[in-house]
Amino acid sequence: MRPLTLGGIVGRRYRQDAGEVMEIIKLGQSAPVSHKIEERQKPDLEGLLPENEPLKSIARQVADGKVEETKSAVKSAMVAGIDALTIAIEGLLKGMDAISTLYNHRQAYVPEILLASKALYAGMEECGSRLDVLKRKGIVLIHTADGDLHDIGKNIVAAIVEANGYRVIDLGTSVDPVLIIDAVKKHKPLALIGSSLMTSTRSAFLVSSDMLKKENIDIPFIVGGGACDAAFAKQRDLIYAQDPNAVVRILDGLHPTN
Amino acid sequence: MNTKKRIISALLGGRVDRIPAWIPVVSVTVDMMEKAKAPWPKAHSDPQLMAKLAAMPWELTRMPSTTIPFCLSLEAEALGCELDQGTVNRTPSVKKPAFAGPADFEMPDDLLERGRIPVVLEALEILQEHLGDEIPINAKVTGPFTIAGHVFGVSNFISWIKTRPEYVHQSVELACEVTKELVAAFVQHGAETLIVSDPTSSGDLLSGEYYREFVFPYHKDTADTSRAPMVLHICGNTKELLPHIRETGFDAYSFEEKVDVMAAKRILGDDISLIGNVAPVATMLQGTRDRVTEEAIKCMHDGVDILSSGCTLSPMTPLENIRALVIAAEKYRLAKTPDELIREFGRGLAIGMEA
Repeated sequence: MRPLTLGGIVGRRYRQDAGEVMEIIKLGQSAPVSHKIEERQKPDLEGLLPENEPLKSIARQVADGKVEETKSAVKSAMVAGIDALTIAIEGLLKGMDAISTLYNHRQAYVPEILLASKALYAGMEECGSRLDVLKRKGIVLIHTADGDLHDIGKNIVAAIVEANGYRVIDLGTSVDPVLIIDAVKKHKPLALIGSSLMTSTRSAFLVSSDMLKKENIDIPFIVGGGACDAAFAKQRDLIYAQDPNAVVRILDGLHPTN
Repeated sequence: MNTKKRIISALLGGRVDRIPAWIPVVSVTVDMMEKAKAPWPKAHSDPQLMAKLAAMPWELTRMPSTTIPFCLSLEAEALGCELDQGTVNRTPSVKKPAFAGPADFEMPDDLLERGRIPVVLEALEILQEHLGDEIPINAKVTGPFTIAGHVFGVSNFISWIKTRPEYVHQSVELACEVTKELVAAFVQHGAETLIVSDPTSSGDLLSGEYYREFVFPYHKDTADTSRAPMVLHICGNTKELLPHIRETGFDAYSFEEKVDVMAAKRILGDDISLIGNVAPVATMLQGTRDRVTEEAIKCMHDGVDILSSGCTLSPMTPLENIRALVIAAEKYRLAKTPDELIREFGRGLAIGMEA
């Protein structure tokens, strides 16, 4: 017999049964309810895409992460006389935006985001207006903490922030604080974003923050990733963002015209 | 019941006198490195130092963990990835992928002589000789999905799920051979329990369906490969993966605090022992002893079979917090009289009603 621990008997069996009994009562069923995870709603990509063609199909190709198809859709739209700015803002970015919305609702996952961002960049290059378009809301710098080589989280944030109309300059992984200061001076960004997955690397953000202060540069510094939390951010004037969506909200709050 | 028996029994879902505390993930800290005079990164590549450091959790805090290697890059390095060696409080990590696609991947004949693998094998022998009577000698193997991510580049590899699913299957199958070969070698050299750590297959990156399709067959294969008790560890929010993990055949599942213990118990039932899940950063690193105790009791209340930290401890974790985890497990009193059981049953019912 297993031990009569709370975990052994109550947590494990009785509590489980008790929960089931309650479910049965609630549902008015006679059979036990199996432990299944709630079914997720089917993704509604259609509703998130722009209404008019050909922008709709451009957005769909981006959301589907199809690089070549995105390129050719952009090409034919340009031939049809639609200007590059419209294609980028109303087509490409809307597609990326749609997939990031699905991602936030756990209806799309990292593979989809990565592919969509590849398609987005390819499409942007095709219409040759990337810089002009993305200047509209400002520049943000993004990097992972010195010593941290994990870049997947950073890439997701970069793609989603880019989709929301900011120009993202990616400084790469494991970035020396000195290089960050130089980049901040050079690009004069709206904000600096740092991602850290390893707790032992996150103190690099404090170093960068102190160096910025020493240089009298006042810039919002958004941090996130598995190693960061609100308590850590409070040690300096850092802003903690729990997910890519939060980063966008914070950035939109910083943007003067919003 | 001695420590070793208790842990192995709990791992296999058997009879125990109390819930054991045992951290199957890496639990060495900077304080331990100082005491053992075995600092990282030196201890990653010297068998004597590695064994000495791995024995420290037991010697200094009575936490019966000996998990080696300390990093997840052992396999990737042996397969030819370039590494960043890390520092005293940072594990080595993979700098660059080694291959562009599964066609380039060559399974080395001399895998066990490559990189730091011989170091780990020798350290296991030393540990087995010195501590084998008291505590289970635990070794860590990187899971196939994570190895594949390392050698092919994570972003690249994850994208293949959509673009070239056959590549993913080929790569993970190849990586799985590496995992299985290491499992066999570790057991042969003295490891009694194994933890397969596969962070890249986390629910933060993959959906349940993707896990089922691209990871599950290889986890199952790994779990079937050895006679030693095997633990699966996946970081992050793995709620959607739980119904599949239940069927992998692993003896135990170690998970992070992002997954609620009671919710996990309801899905996993008694098919797989639960190991967890005191928060490694918010509680173990930053919390006080009281907070650790409080959270440990909650975990045991909610139904973990082995009390542990939810993930690898930060190297800066204070020793007294690890000690607090050990003491919490020792002191936690089991409900014994019928009265107590009825009271607890009522509590369980009430909690069920809330949910």
